[in-house]
Amino acid sequence: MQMEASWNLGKLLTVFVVVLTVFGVLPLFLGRFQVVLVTEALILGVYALSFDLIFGYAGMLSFGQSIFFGVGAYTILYSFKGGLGLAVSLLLAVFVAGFFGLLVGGAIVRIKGAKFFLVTLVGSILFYLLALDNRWLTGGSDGMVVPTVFPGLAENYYLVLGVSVTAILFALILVRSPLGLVLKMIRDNERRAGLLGYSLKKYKVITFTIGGGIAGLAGGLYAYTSGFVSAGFFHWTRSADAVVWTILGGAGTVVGPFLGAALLTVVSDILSAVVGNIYPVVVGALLVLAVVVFPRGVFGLLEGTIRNWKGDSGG
Amino acid sequence: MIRVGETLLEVRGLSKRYDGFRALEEVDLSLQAGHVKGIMGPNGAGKSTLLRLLAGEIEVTSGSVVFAGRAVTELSVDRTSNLGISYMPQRPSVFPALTVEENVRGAAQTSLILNRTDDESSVKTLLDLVGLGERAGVRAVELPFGEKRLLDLAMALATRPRLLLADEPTAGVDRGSAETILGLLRDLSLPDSRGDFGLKGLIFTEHDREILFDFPDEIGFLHAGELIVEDVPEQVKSHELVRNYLANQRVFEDFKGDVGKDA
Amino acid sequence: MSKLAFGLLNGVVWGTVLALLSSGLNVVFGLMGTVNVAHGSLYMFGAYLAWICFSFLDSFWLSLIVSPLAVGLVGVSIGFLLKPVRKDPILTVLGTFGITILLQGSTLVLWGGTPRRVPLPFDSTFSLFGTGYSFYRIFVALVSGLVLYCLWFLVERTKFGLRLRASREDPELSSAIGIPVFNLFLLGFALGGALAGLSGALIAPLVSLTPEMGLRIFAIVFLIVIIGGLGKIWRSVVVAIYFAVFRGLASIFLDSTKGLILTFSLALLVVLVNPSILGRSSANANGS
Repeated sequence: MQMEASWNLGKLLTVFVVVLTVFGVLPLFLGRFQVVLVTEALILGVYALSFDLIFGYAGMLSFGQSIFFGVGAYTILYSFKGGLGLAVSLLLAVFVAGFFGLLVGGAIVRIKGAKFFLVTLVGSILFYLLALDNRWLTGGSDGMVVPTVFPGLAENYYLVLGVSVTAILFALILVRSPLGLVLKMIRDNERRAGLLGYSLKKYKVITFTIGGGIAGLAGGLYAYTSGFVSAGFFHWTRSADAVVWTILGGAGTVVGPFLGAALLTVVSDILSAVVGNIYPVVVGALLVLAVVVFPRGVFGLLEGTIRNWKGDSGG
Repeated sequence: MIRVGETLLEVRGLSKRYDGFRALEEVDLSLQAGHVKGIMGPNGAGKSTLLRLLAGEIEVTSGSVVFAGRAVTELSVDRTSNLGISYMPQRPSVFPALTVEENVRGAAQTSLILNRTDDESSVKTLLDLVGLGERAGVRAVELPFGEKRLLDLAMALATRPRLLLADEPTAGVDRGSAETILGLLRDLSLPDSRGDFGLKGLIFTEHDREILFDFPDEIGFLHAGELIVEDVPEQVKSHELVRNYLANQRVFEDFKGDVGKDA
Repeated sequence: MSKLAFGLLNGVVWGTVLALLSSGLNVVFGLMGTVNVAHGSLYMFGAYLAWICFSFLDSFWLSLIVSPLAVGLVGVSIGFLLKPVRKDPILTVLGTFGITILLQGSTLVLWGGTPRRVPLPFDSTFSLFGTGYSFYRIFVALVSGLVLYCLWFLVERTKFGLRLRASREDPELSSAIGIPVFNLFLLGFALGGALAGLSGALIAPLVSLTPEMGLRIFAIVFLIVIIGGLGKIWRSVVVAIYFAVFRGLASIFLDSTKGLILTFSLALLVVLVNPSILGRSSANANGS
């Protein structure tokens, strides 16, 4: 039996079932607009999760997730136009975006550290510019309509919930698997991982592929539910969003990104009603605070508080 | 299957140059299966460079390394490790956020994948072997220096290597842990080693003369990148340069034993 | 033909400003090992200060003094704020990125998203191929060139520069021999900030100011610094000029977006194909 330093399987499963039930009955108690927010937060949570796998688990600071988000979104568009059904289209979005992840990952895997971040940023900008420039394919900044039968975030709440849950389960299984352990080792001490016989290149590319696929899933879902897709899906600020949500929510935990996405979606909504445009200022300040004061994010704070209540059980 | 008496490692003309600086110059050495070799020499002589070259961590400038009949000179560090050469770096290199158990399990995974062992309890065995059995759930970052080194060794052994390269395995380590490490290395390198670890050779670098002249079969003396002498301990001891070096070293002998606090 | 000449000239002018900016980034990054993602936003801040000086104090020229000073100070604050994480490259990237968002957002709140314009401080032009070419652009190039020269002198020929370079090479050793590494760290930030502020102020009359101009420029400048080589200020100057000229020419023959795409792609390709360009940090990372 594995000796996790924190949650064991039984505890986790219980919490999971409880949370699932809560989410399951949520729409009955909330107004339509709030359901929209929750749905959006879930989709964006999946997106942030893709970043967390790459950064929080394999240790690569990638600003390029918007690339796969956009690819997934446009795959859904063309898949529907091609007459394919929802399930197939979503799967296609995952695979195509994952394939892009493979390509991009393979190209940049040799690059290390902070320079890696730059290359991903430039890559993200490049894809955005390409999308902007090729109106025939992407509709440019005006975008194109996605022929969804039942568009709307709130209407697709249960679909989104189902997909998110699947993604979370997948991620949880992944991080507790031998592969997950390898990723954590690479994150913690790349050198030693290599000395022990793990091919860093191979595992980084694998991570990028999986991360790309999940980002593509989120992008596809987002395009589907909003019934619309544009070059803006590729904009680097989308990449930045994933980064911010994950860091604030807690990197290296599967739940953190969801917490971050949820929290910030709500905060953004509240703030825009109070003072227009103040949201980026708040986010920027929070990020700096997080980096300097609490790098483990909200999840880390919560976990720490719970542990203190329980009297610090440790192992 | 490597038998005792066969040549495990054959190194010819190994050189490493950095922009004109000669870290290692034309080193020839060989290791028979079942043997232990100690490498001694002043700081900066190239001991770590030698081991890192053998492990594949840095690129060879010229020369060749043949391991169990295979040329491994050009191989990457992970390929070299998979072939059975395990390198334990000079300073403890563990996975800080992971627990002790996860550290060893992560290291052992490779040997499971490569089918060198199907013993799933090997992680526990290894932990007990180095005396960290009670500390399995502790995060590696919280370990004191000596225990980090023990963990290091457990990880290096977890890959079930044929050849272990240990870079100053006891440097800075407290007496108790040092004894554990040395005892383990000594036991494992006996021809009929316990637990059938499959370890066929050991090369380690060291400053301490007691250790050096105690159990290795051969000793090499490295100075300014050159392997001045390589022979059985008695011969090496009587070599002039070695005697000079050892005489100068005496000054620092008194300080040993106080080192071992957290690095 | 005249279009070509103009494109070339504009490219050179823009190149000198980019060179100034990349030198600022290089001082902090290449010499001190710290990535300052906010560097672009500092440039943006300098440009907006110029607009403020013009709009509210009726003098553009004032900004050439105010911007470097004010932004230099902001730079120092950033350095101070990030003191606890300065040794961790990932955390510094994240932290300075947060500051970028903060600066960008504040500008948006304070001055709105509508592009701002600063008129040319003097109108005189000289005749080039039958059309007028603004003297101000030449002025910008000259000032940038002068400042770069002073910077060169400071870094290569003074004790300060020597200490700066030493503390990058080996912070512990430098500290041990009495070089105040952290103070230098702050000074480096001040210098980098001042250079960014000056660039922003200089370029203000030639572009339209928006809060986003910061991060856009950052990607370009960082690319330039990496291609030129970390800490190699002078190589980056050359790369900056090549880059700007290439971009200028590409925009004449293709449209602006395509020109940018081409320039970025080429630069990215250079970086990918030659990863040895990407700094010597990996050589040191694994110990002696």
